[in-house]
Amino acid sequence: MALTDDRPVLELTAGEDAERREPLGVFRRPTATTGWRSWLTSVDHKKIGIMYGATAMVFFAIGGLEALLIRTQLATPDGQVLSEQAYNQAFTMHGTTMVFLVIMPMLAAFANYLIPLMIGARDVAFPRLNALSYWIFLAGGLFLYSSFFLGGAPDNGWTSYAPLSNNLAYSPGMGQDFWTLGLQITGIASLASAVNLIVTVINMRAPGMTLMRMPIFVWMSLVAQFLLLFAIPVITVALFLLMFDRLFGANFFNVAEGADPLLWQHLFWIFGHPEVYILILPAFGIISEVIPAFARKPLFGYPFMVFSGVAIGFMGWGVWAHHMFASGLGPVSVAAFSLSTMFIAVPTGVKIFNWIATLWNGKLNFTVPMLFAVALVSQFVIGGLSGVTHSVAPHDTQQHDTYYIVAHFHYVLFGGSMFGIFAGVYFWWPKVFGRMLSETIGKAHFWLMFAGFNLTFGPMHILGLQGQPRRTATYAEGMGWDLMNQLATWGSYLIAASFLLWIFNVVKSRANPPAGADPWDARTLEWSISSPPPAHNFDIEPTVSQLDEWWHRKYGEDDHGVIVRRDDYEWMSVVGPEEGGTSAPPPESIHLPSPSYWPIVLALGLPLIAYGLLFTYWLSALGGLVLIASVYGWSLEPSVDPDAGHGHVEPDRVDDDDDPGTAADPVAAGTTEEPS
Amino acid sequence: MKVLQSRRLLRWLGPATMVLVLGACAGDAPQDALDPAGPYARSVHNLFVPVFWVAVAVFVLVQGAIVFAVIKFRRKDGDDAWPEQTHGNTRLEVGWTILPALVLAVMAVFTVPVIFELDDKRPDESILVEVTGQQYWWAFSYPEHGDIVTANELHIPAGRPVFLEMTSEDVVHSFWSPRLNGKRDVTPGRVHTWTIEADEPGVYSGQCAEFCGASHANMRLKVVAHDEAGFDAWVESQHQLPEAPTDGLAAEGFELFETRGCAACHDVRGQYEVVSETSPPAPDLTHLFTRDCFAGCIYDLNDRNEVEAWLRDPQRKAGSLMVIGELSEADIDALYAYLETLR
Repeated sequence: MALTDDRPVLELTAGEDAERREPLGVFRRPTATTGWRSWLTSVDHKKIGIMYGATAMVFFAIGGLEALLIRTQLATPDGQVLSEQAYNQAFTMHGTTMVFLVIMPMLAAFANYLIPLMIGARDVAFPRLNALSYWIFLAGGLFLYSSFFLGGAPDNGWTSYAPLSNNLAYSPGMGQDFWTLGLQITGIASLASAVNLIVTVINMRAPGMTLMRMPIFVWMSLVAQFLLLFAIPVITVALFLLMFDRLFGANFFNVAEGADPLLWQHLFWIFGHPEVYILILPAFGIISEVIPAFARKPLFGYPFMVFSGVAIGFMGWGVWAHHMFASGLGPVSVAAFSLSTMFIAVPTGVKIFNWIATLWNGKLNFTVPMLFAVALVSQFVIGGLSGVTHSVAPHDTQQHDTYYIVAHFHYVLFGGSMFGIFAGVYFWWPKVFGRMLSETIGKAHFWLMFAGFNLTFGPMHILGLQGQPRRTATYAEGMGWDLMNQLATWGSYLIAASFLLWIFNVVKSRANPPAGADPWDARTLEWSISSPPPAHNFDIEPTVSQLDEWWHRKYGEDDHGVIVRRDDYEWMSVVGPEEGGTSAPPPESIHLPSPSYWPIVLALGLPLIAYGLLFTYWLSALGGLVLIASVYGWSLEPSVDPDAGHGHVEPDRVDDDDDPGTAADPVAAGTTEEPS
Repeated sequence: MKVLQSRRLLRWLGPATMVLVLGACAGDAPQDALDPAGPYARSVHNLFVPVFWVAVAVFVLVQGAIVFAVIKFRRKDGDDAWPEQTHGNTRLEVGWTILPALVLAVMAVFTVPVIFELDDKRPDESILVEVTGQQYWWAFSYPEHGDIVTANELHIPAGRPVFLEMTSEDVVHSFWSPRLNGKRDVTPGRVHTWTIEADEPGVYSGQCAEFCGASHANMRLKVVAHDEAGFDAWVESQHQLPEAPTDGLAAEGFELFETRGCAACHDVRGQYEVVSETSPPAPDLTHLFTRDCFAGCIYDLNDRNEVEAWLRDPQRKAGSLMVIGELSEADIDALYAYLETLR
């Protein structure tokens, strides 16, 4: 429920009776609503979502190139393509990129774009904070990658175990510092975004949208945001200690001074395991929207899906030490974590069964998003089963740090998260950009990626059990690993080819005809408005009476219990006349949050501080100044300014008296709050 | 027609799977965790095998259900009717929550005892070996067998448990010889214990399994299992210290070994002793030429070219700490002649 009471519409006194202030006299308020400038200053959750997605796709290409380097090096024994150090940089940056700069921001893209639309809100709770999250994420990513030009990239693996990472004798270059500082920066972005999205979901749902009427994607994203909220501080602490060891000679991980190297491992994995669920739960949410849409059935067992997601969120905190079964924890800890790891398979299994039950007796339409979604279910089963074998701790000592593990987590994060992301991208592309992606090219993309993925990572199960350790730049002849490595390398080239097809599809889609508001005949509120949605999302505030609200508005049962399409449903923004139904009356005057320069300026301060720590403290001082000035500028700037760009929507039709938003609202639940 | 396509796909998948499975069996894999060669590796393996088959069964059932649903419930062209709108079935869902939990509980019952068994104290009749991991090689010493120190090659008696007390001089490593047992981290500031055993004499491959820096890939090892008599003979041979050469090329090499600074890091017992509070920073060379491999066990010691290439450029192994400077070909010949006497 939204916070409900009889408070008047919260409207900041900006406009004719308020005196306009130029914030600190530094900037004129940005006014652009189109062109590149509008992107730099936008606080619109949709634009920010698109920027998150586009940036993540660029990093996906870069991380993919690193993967191709790795696979090319390993195609034959004694590979000479990369030096050991270059190889170590490649796998370190591949892992770091894919986790922190691809999957996390990609899921942030979906959450940003979709959550307000799915819960019937006009924007997120804190739009400027949202912009700040994106710009900080971008700043952190660019900072991390600048290491390649400033003395060498990190090369200690994405786990950067101490004392390899903290001791300057073992990692003398600055790469490790770039990693430590870069991830602290992106961590701030994740935290800000988590707070923002949690408040959005809790506070800004449309009238009638109880928690158990929320789309499952919103639920899964909400759980992931809570995990972020609690996990990011743990890694930040670890990174902070590591930074002090390296930059200021502290001894948190210094074995010579009595530190225990296991401290880093515990801190890292207390973050690292919930992180896995941060990466997979929203993807589960995505396919839980896609599968019902194309099975033409509601999600089987919605409450079970919600509670199993929440259960995974809780249990995810109790399994971290299964990453450390070889670390010498002692049998009691190992046994405890072995058991907890086995039992986290239960709620995950529930999800798999419920998806299959959703398919069962449906009328499955194998569009591209559906293909990716079903492939996720199938491939995640493999990743889940290999995960169960890890829980058998004695045998995990054989699997740990081998290609079997590499196979496992790629089946979870690529076969799972990335396939879910592609399902979502194909599904919501027409909503976001107003054009369909080609189904034909999309199917070619899917099958090539499906084949390439399984060819790459399937053989790695065998390689690992045959004793090939991960993170090894080379292997000797005669180990029996040649064929499987060769297959895996060919598979990786297929994945690369499929990615090119996907880019081709995107480029070509610009010429496709308009998709229409609801091309898939889907179930949730974002499909009730035009594609792409108007800046203010909904012309009328939707009032929700059940799960899958939009579907129930479109369809009802006739006297014989047959499902028929209604002809009296109403679109919630102005859509083309060919769509059927009627369009909502135009909105009353709506104040939207105004664009602002401050988020991007503030974000600029952070990498400056970080560079300063590595090169000269003067830069840090400058960065700190930028940061503080931005905080002041930000606070002095009114969040809503009618004279600024896209801050104000005037009605474009004035032909009705009644206000359907409240008249049709039996819940009489409150009013739209202006985001601030 | 669509169904036909799927069948064609299945026909294609069948042989593809066969190729994969056969590929797995083809060829000799000396480091194969699926081919245990001792009781510890076997007890771990025996735990895995039933779990593997349960996983296969679940895999077949679940994937079968998916494939069946995908084929059977595909929407026909032009079929616009809506299927029955099922929202769930609590009894069914509770069922498929409890059933996996039961299967996992059974797994747990078998797993937990093995965890404690493998972590048990030092077994009776075992021999003790101290393992020291260093970037990027292994030192093995035998405190109960007198003064024996070796590098990268761990000699053990077959048919007897070998209790390892392991620590690291620098970063975290992990000791792993898959056919003899799983892996255990070798961590600075801690002593981790681990037991391995080989049923039969033979050579068992292994390598560092925890990423430890530039040459992590080049930190390999060999476990050489002897029969009881062979092991005693090996111990005996390790107690025989080589004599310092007094004339010829080898004597020149003996001089060079000191003047070039080799003796600052490499022990040659009876000839050069490294003074160091911790273990020497470089492999003990006392019985170098009784080994088969060197430099993290990546080069063949029986191949003279490899040894000479190493003396010319120890940096050919990434991250190697060895510094020797420019050597003339004559120096190399002399050093080789000396090293060859270390048996």
